[in-house]
Amino acid sequence: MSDPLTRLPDLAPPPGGLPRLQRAMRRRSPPLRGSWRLPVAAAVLAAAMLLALVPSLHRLMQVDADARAIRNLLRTPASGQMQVRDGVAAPLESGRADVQLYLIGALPAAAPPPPG
Amino acid sequence: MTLREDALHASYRRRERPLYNVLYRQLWQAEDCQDVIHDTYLRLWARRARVREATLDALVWRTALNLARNRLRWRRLRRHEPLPALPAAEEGADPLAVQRLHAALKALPGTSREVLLLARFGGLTGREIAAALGIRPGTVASRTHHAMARLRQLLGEAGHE
Repeated sequence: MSDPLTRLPDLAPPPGGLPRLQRAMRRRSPPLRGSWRLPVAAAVLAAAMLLALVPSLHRLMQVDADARAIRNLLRTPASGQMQVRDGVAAPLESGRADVQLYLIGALPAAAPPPPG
Repeated sequence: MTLREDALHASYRRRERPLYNVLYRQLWQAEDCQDVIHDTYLRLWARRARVREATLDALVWRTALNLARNRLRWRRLRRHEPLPALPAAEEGADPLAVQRLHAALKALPGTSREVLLLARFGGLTGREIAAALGIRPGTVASRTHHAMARLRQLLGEAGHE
């Protein structure tokens, strides 16, 4: 018995199939357009956060500087007496026997000698 | 390993003609066959991260046959039966004989038709047909035997040789 399917010819597919597929594949796999946007946005955000933090950092540094200044003021010399340079100190009532308050003011810088 | 673009193109060049011949005797419309082949490869490209080159051809057959079955199911649901267009290569043949053969193929169950067409046009071994259909090689042999017997019965081979 013969194979009836041998009567069916081997058909050629219509042309253009592979180019059509290649075009569709290119549309589905486009290059990463706009990929620079994310890094730029991240950089801008980071800069904005840094700028927002700067005043706080400045305040922290100022507080630190003030604390150091106060510690220096409170550091008593070997003689046990405190000295005020370029300024005056006025004692104030603290209400406690073990605490002495002073109002410290800076003296203006000495005027330079007149020329001649 | 991600499927390479040139490997996919090479598979297309290798399989386009056999796919077309198998699908045509399922769908009977050249445009539908082209669309199924196109969609098959596009689907595999979309999943290229999970496709290995070694199993690409079997996957091509399996995907194409599934898409063809979906189209046939869609046609049945819509009660849409396109008029089969006789392709140029068949125009020279005896139109009545070809028409009888087409009718007999259409009357076969889908699974029987597939094994016969894959063997005739796919250039596949029994093992490769089994891989494409997701069945055992032994099932391919028995299904082919029964499908051929049924086809001959439909054609009335005894009275038409």
